[in-house]
Amino acid sequence: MEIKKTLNRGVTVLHVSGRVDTSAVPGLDLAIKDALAAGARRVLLDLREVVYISSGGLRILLSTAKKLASDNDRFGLYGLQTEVYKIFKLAGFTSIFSLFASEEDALAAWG
Amino acid sequence: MPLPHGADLLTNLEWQPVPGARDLRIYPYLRKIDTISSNSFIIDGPDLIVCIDPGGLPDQADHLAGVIAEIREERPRPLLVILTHVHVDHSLQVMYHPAFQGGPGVIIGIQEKGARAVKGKDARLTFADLLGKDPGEISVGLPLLSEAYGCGVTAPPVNLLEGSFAVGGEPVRCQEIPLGGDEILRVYHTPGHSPDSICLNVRGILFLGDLIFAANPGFAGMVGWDQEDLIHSLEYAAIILEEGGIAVCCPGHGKPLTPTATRAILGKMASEAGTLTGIVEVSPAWARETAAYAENLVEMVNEVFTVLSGRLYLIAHVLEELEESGEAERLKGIIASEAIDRIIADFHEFSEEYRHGKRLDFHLTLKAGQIVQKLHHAFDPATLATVVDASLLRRADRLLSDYMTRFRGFTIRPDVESVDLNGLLREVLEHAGKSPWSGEAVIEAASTGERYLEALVSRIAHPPVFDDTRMAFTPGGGVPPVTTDPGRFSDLITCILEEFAGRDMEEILLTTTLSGEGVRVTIEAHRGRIDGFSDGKKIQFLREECRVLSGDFSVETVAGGARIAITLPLQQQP
Repeated sequence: MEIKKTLNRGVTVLHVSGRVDTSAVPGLDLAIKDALAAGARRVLLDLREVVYISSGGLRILLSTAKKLASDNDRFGLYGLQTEVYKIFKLAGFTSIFSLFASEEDALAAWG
Repeated sequence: MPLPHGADLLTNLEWQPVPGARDLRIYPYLRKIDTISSNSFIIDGPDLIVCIDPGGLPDQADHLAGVIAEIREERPRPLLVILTHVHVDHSLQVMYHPAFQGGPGVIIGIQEKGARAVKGKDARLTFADLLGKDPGEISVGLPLLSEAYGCGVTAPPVNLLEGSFAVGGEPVRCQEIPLGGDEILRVYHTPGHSPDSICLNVRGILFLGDLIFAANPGFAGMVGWDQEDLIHSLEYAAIILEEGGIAVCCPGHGKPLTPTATRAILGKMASEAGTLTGIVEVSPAWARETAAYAENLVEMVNEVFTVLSGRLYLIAHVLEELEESGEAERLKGIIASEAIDRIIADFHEFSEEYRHGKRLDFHLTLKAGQIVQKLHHAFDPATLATVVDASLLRRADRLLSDYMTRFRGFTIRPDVESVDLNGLLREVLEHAGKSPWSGEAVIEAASTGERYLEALVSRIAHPPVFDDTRMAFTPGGGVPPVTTDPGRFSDLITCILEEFAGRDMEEILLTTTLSGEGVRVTIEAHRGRIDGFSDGKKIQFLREECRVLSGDFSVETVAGGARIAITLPLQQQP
């Protein structure tokens, strides 16, 4: 798994690629924690290149949603591949997270 | 890699005296358990050196050859190389390593049936075909325990020092080979794992070969495996232990065992062996089919367990928001999600090696067997049933059980009965994704306070998977009952419905029709994410599930969707 960080109109975008399996989960956790520690309150995960997410990965996402729950905070995901989206849907995560088709869609929705 | 230390019973890679013997030493080469190479042992006797199972790896054989060369340099003696059986993980280096191929002062001793197999380079009996090896020829100087000698108990000793290797007299279950002085190597015929399997006894050190693994899945059913012989041999080994005088038991793989531990394993194996009637032959074709099944199955297991864990995390998350952190923590603990993630990641890594040709079909079947057993331990359906979707749990449990059934060499037998398919499908649709707690029941529970938390948890545990999908069923008229397994069939249909809903299909249409010699169930989904659907492992898995139900399965993509048709025969064999 690889993670690259960009900043777009005040939103921290973490571009994740590869498999978010048990060995990658600590890396994802760290990248998100680093972003929050640096003051990010609007975080968007680009999952276009993620082919697999483990339950540990889902746990990190829930934990992030909990940390970004204030009124002005934003946390969302975009570009989920079908297999990853299916896991989100069947686990009930599509009703918890803000999911977008693209980075532009997310930024437009968040103003 | 050798173990740093074999066990308390024997020290690995060191010479040590054989307890109670003045003139005998043993040098163990112990390895972790795998299918590549066995343990090896060198016995340093007064007049003869014995090497038991030189193994399957050149490095291992080099090491053994070096140790043997040292003691032969000190005092030249003949070397007797004995194989506990001719499977290539024990015998390959006898086929190819110059130090063990026979020649001046080196005699190869193999039970007579094994001797015949290696003379003919038999790829099946040597297990070379499954392990992807090329069987070489072995020149056997000493065919052990020959049937030609009838049914006696103890054959006269073979006097290797005089160069006469023929065993005369009565035929044998046990044979004795003098090592010099008072020391004797006893050879017992213990077929079952293979026809040529033997056990050896040197002054209370009992070498078991693969006897204690012979009832294990993947090994039971190998070419040459015999249930009746195995049960008899396990009993025979138990008798040898009961007679006393055994201090240490050395399996062909893994650490040495105490006689007590060995006795327990022999008993367990004998019980297991007794259940293995009618298993299929473990052949390269079996390994290929089982490996393909394992890959699809673990993919399904992965999905089901990720969804299960995800739902539990979600419930815990919502409960924490509702300041019910005690219950949230309890629920997080009822499935070992992190352990399951690790197990699945381990299999994925192994599968990648398999796909890149670094692992064989047989290896993948064994690995999947390990994975499934670990998942069984990490997963308690009874506890989870109080919270999550029963269908999901049933499917997870069945996936694991089905693999073990096939891996053990059995055929999966559906629990069939006469079924009204239209009624069953109505029931499946009615319950799909629904909590046993209705909205009204939750409100009622909230107002009375009783079982409110339970109701709430159940509602969260059943996310609205089908809320955005219109589902309709058109039952065909005059559809007669079919013979099928209603539980399996319901779960198969639920699995398909979830697959379509998970792909955001706007509508799913089910129909039943009488078609030729069966009833056809068509499930058609429209307007959703269809990429990677028809060629994925999920489809292969569904097809296989349908085959278990003796049904035909077909899939085709339609504009923005897909159509699956399952045809169940009207008269199925149970």
